[in-house]
Amino acid sequence: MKKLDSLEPKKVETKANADGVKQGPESATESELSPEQLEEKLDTDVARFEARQQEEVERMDRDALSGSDSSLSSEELAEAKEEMGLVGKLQSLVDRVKEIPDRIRARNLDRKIQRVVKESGESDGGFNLNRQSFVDMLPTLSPEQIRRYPEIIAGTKLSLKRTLSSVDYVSADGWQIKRMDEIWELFQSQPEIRNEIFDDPEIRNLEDTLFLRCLLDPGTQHKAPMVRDRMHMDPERAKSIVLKTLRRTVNFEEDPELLYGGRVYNISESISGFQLGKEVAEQLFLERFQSYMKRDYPWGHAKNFRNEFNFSESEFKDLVSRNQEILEKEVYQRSLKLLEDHSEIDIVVRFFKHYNDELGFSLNLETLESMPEMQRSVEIAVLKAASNGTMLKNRDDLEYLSKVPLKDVLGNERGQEALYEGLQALIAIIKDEDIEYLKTYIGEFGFDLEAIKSDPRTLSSVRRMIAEQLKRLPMRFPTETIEFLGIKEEDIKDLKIQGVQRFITTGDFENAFTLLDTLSLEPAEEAKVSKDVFGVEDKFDFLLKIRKLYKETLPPVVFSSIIQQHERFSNKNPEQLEAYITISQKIVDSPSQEIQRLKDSLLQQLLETENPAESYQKIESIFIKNNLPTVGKVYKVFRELYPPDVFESKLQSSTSPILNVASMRRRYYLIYQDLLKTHIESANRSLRQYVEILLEGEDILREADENGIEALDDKKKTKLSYFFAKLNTLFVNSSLGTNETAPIQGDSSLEKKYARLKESLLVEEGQSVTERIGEMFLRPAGLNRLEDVLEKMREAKTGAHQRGLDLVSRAQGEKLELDEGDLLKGVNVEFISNILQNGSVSKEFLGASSDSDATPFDTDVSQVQNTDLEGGFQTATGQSLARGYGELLLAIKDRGQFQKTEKGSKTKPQSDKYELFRTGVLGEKHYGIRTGFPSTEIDFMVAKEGLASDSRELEKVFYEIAQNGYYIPVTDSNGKIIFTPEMYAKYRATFDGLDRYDGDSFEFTPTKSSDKNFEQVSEVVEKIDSNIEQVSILSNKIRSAVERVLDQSGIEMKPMYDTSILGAELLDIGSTGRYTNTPGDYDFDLTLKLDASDFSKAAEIAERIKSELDIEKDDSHSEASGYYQLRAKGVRSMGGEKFEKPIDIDIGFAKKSDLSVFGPHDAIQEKLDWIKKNVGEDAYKQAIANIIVAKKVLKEGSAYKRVEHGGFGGIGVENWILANNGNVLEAFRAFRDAAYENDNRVPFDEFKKKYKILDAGMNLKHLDHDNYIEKMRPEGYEAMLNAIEAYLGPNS
Amino acid sequence: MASSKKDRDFEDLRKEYEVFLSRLKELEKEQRELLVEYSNKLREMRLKKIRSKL
Repeated sequence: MKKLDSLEPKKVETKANADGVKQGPESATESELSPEQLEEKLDTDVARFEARQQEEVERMDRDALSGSDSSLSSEELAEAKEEMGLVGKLQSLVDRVKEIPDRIRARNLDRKIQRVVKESGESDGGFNLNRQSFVDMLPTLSPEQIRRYPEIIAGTKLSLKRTLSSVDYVSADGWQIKRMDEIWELFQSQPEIRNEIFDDPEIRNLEDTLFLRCLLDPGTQHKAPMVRDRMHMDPERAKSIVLKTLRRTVNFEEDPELLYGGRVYNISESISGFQLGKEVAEQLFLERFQSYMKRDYPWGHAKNFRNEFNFSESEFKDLVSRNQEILEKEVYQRSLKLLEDHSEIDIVVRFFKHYNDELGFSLNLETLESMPEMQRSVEIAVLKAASNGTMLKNRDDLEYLSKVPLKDVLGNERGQEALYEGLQALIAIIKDEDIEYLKTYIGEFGFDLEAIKSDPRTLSSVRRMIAEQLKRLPMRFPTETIEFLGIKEEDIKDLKIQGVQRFITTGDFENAFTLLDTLSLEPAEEAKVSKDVFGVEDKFDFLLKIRKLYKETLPPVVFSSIIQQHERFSNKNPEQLEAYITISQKIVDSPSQEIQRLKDSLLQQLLETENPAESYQKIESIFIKNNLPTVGKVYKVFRELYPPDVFESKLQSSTSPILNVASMRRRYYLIYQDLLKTHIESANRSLRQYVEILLEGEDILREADENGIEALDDKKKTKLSYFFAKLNTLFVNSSLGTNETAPIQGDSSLEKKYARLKESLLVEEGQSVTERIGEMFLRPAGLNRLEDVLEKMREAKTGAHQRGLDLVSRAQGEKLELDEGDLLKGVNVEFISNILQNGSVSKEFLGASSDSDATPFDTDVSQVQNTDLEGGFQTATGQSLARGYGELLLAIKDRGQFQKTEKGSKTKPQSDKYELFRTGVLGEKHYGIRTGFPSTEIDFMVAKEGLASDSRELEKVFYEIAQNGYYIPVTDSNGKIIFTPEMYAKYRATFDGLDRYDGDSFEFTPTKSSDKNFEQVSEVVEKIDSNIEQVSILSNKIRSAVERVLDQSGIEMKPMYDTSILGAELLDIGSTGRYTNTPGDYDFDLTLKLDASDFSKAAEIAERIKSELDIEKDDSHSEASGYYQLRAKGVRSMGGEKFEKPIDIDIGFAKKSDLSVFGPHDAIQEKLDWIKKNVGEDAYKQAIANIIVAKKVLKEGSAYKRVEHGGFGGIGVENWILANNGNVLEAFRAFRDAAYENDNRVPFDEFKKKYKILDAGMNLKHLDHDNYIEKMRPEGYEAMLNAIEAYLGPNS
Repeated sequence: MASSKKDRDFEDLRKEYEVFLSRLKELEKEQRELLVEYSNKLREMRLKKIRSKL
């Protein structure tokens, strides 16, 4: 029994326990196990389960087999097991047990993956692929496991997408896209998944986009193969993109959606970089050529073609000769179009020659003639010219090409239609002066006059035009035409005679003389012309003499003067007259700005002299040999032109009573004193600068005077030399064009310079320089020290300023009043700048005004009289004598500043007053002020109706006043103030930072680290140095190419920093000249200034420069006056030197003798320089960076360019930012604030009224100051506000 | 954060282990019953043999 008992199940359990199997809650240590140990324990538990089972069965079997009678045989045991199915059941138990740990493990792994995935996941759907846990786990996973966690693939894709879409520039090592590479590596062990990721269409798209961008950006084009590899982009796909892009490039197609129109910069780069092979290169070249022939400007150069494809010379030659026939055919086709477009053969011949030379073709007219399309093109050319009303050039050649006589082409119905159309076009479009053209048109084309007759309206228009024209211009119409049109021959002559007279009185000598040339007059008619022109009948021959001397390059004032002074001039012999003309020409061509500003007065004065050649030489030497302020030169010129005998002869009873009775010596002294006083009290700039420099050198000069230069120590010698250099610069800026050395210039010794200074100041033997300076500039003005001159200038200005303010503040109802005794002077607006600087002086002192000739040596004024005032302000000005002398009246109140003198009375001159006397020549009101008066004496100005309604002209006056630096009120003809102190302040603020105009300090607002754009601005600041370097490199390339071209034309370029006045100059007036260009974006806007004598070569030089360029688009144009504007877009190389990116080059041609004005670019440059000098280098860079940022923001908002966007353009933005303290945020806010009223955007028209962006510089073309808001269009205004608001964000 | 997650995972594992143990117990019970059944069968066969000899 016992044994049997032992077989009880209970026993089995006991046995198991006794075996020490740890199981169930009984095992107390399990909670202390690590997860790994736990996992291990799973296995041991299972093993034990299995082992114990086996043990038990074996034990039972063993017991059953053993010993006693009841023992069982092995067979019986097997049978029993069989019967029970024991083995199977036990196995199934084991299996079930074993299953559990697997499941737990799988679940545990999943949990682990989930954890890693969760840890690596990012809130925005991204996935951190860098976590070591993920990196370690990835290779252990099956594709299925990975797919169970979609965030892995999705996150990886997102990471790729982010990388790809954030890159806009790839550097040489491609670090920006190294992520692509890393991900590729990471999934090395998971090729299936990797493909799935990299084949995502969106990713492929982004790859394509980035790859293409890289390909298109000239800066990264060469990196495209590297980018392809680093992105692990399919090479075939890359190749097809490259091919497509190259095709687009060679075909000049443009995809506006893509960077740079979707074209590569360097064709050969991509051909070799992607190993496309020679065959593809050749194919592309053929396409290129074909497309080139379809361009507006099809004049290609072999060198450029070769370079584009990087063919060697022999390769290219071979390629061209193999394909010569195809290529030539293209040229022929294109030549037909040229023929059609230009209606001339010459251009075709030139075109053929060009390609025969360049590519070794054998193009010829014979082949062209044999082309079936040729005749059609000839006809198109002829008909086109006819219907446009343009002439055929070299008609004979066209005739030769045409298989049908051109007469017949034009004679048939279509031809006549075209001609008729042309005639109508001409009548509709052309101005009267083009009638000559109309005539030729009719004559040359063999136009059937009956056709005109057939339409009464056409007939009458033509007749009317021709009749009108006959009055004005020389006509050579065939008699039959005139007759046909029903105009009488005798009428024609009469009309022409009237024309001559009319042209001469209006100063249009060009037309007057051309008309005169066509006349053959009877003596009676000659007498009539003479009477009309000179007021006497016997001067017709003199008119013919003048006609022979006439040159269109001279200003009309020369001929007007000669005609006005005909009594004097008609006695001159031809040589004498010729001398006047030669001298006039010299003055006109002078590159001296000082001369140009005084040109008209100087010419007029010269023509009054008896010996102009001598006078001119003397005047010239005054400008060359004298380092003097303008006042000194004016006085010297006066002395030359008015020696005592002439002076004496000009005195009349109406001349200043004081001058009349004074001794000769006294007269000159009085005049000098007056001039000096006038210049001092007008705060004349030239005098001020002169005195400032003298002041600096005063001590050292005194020392040199006392002890001699030898005695100075080295330091003092340097100082003296520096002083001379400064004085010299001042001189050079104003001197007359000459190759002679300037007085105190160059490397001559200090002693020589000193001697020259003495010479120019006329220092007498035994006199010191400082004594002489005192004698010249101090004593006549009643002053003792040089400082006093400056002080006096300041006093005069502040006094006048305050007076202006007081006058306005006292004004009743915003109106100023005139009082009895007030003086009025009429002037032309164009003289106002001169008058403000030099005072209003009589023309003998080169004063710029339209004074009457009746009273020399004084400036005319009209006195307001009691009776004038009865009808109010307007009547008073209207009745003044000044009304006839210009649109602007200067009003001077009698404040006791005048010494009133009377004819015949002997009065001692008072040196602190201006002599005022009645001349009475033009009536009771006619007064004169001896010599003139300073601008600070002007109490206010009156703009007459014409001027007051011309806002543009008026604005000029306001600017001139503001620029001059003190307030002068301006009223309209009713006395209403139209230029208030507030307006003055606004205009004046535009001169902040401009020392030359005594501008106030420029207030600079730095970009602070707390500003939201601090980082952006700092980033740009970082790039400024390298931008400056890049600009210099490019500009040097351009400069040397231009220099080469000039050299070929025999013109010398003035070396930089050379201060001499002759020689060509190349100035950068665009943003690159100030480094305010967007770094990486280089458009050059240059001016090439040529000496007047070289100017006729401008077009030739421009063409030569163009031939040095590889141009994408040529927008150049020339003006009839000889001015030329070269506009080359997309220049890839210059003189064979390739640029890294295409750049635009604009070159305007100008004469050195053109009056140069202080332009917008000068103003910006000076303000930036001011910041650099006074605030510091960092501020300077920040100001530039702010400008660049503003340009970028506006560009991105399509609110920048003038034409395309309706914005205010580059120079406008620069002005705007500087007007807002060089701070983009301030500018943006001010603009936005002005654009809103009660949270609503005001319409553009409203906005314009309250917001202005004024320019201190003068528009070079219109000679006025721009208000950039006026240049905007409404859509530009809206776009700008949108861009600004987006940039500022809400609540700022 | 990560470690507490890990703790939670461990906790989950431990719970699963407990479930495993109780499942193991159930299976052990089945195992025992099967073995007892086998043992009984053997005993029965031996008793039968003895009885036939008696």
